[in-house]
Amino acid sequence: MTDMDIEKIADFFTESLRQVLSTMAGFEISHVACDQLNTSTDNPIIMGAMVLHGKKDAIISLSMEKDTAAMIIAYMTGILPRELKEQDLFDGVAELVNIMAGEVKARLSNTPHHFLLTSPFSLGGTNLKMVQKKNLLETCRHLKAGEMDITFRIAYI
Amino acid sequence: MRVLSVDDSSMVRKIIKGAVEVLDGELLEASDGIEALELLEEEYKSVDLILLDWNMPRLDGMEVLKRLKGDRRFRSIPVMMVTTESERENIVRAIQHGAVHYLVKPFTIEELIKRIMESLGKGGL
Amino acid sequence: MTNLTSKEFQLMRDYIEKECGMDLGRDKAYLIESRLSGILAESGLSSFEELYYKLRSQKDKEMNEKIIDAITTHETFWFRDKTPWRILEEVLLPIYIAEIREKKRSKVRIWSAGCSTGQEPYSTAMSIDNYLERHRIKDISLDHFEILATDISNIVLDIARAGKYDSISVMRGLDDEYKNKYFTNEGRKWILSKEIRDKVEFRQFNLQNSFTSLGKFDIVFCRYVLIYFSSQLKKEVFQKISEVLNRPGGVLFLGNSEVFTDYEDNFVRMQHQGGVYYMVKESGV
Repeated sequence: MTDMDIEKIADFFTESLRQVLSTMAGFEISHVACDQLNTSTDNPIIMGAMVLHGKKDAIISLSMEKDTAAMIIAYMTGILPRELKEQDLFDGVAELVNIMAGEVKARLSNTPHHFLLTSPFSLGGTNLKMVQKKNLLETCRHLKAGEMDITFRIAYI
Repeated sequence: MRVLSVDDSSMVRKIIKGAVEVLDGELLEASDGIEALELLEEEYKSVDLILLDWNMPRLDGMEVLKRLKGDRRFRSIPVMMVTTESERENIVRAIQHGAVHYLVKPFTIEELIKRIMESLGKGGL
Repeated sequence: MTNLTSKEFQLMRDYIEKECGMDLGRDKAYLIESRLSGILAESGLSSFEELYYKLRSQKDKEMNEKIIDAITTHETFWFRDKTPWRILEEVLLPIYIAEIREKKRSKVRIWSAGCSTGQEPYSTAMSIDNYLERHRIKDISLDHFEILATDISNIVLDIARAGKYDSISVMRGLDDEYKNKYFTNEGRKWILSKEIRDKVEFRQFNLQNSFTSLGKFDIVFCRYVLIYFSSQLKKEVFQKISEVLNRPGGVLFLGNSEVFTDYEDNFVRMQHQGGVYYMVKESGV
């Protein structure tokens, strides 16, 4: 990462996620404005995240309701949502982040914005929030696949 | 036909399992390089293909590939890399170290089945 | 380690466009190497640079077909976009059935060009079979229809012929009605009924070749195939398709998101219920 416009970087990730979900799950996603960084829901959330190392380090995350994660992982694996274990959902969302980041890494590999991947991880719970220090550059994208909502966030750290 | 999938993501192993079953094969699974090598000590005679991720804990895919190709017992088992690492240098390195194919994630299930068949050197089902 | 410089990479792209007729848009270009990895491994060469020079000096047709096959993405759905099969059932089948009954024709020939793992031609066979049954049509059967499906890749054709699909493939576009009626399920494997499988003839075919050996068709499906082709090859393929379509009435289906601008010489753009099809003109160019 460099101080390339964070909005541009976010668009790269959004485009990559669109491609990953279309290729691997057959889902088409559209994106709507993300006007607030702290959208909340009472339903359980799964968040996959990864730290990226570049000239500037960044953290990216994908969060979605547990039922959405189950639907996406079901279409990716061909296993019915009810047959997926919680562990599969955590693993699946982390791997989604990994594949998405890998795609963007390849696209930016021969540019000054290149970065290295680290191990993806996932978190779960209700009212899950990621709070950064004040004045950190961050942005988000709100994505929709049918009725399902996914939130992508990136912050320079 | 027996295929070993070495990937730290259980989701990816599940996808591969589906593809292998369509080809009437059986899937063995390992979640990192060390586990894969341990499993191969026992099973190498009956493994027809290894699908290998690159970034994994403990022992990464490139190191596993080098060890496989450096061991007389395992050398003849074809290896296809299945990874998010898509930089040219890495692809060339893997091929130079003996991988027969390199599949970049994301992939479609049809692509995966096709590459497995190509890696096995088989035309028919 | 030898890497391809940007210039050599550009040469490789030019070679693929010129010799294989494939246009690698900027966003797919970075995937060239992974797609060609199998060819590199098989060649025994140790860099893409050497591979490029070998390709350029040999200009081997078989090798070019391998490149086309490697670069093409195999992504396919059952009844993709839905509208072609709605048009088939609501517009075309009633006409064909009337013509067979009036002895104006003895059969209907359909070509699925670039059929990949078979979902498109099998969707067509199931759609026709289901239509005949739903309308209790007994005097006409699937035997009145010939479905030819071609692809450049022998391996995907083997997968198609086997008619076995993973549950991921079956989740994409296949209604429960079709799933229950035409498939049997073994664990994660779904096997298409022999009756439908036997109705489709699969054949290896390169769209760069002459189409004359294929005969004439009433319908050509050429969907999400030309998106990879250079504008020159696209033009040639459209011309050749117009020549193998029966006149009058022959129909071409493209992918719903594909844009076809130069159709007016040979085709008339038709619409039905939100779907588009191209009908060959009575006398073409």
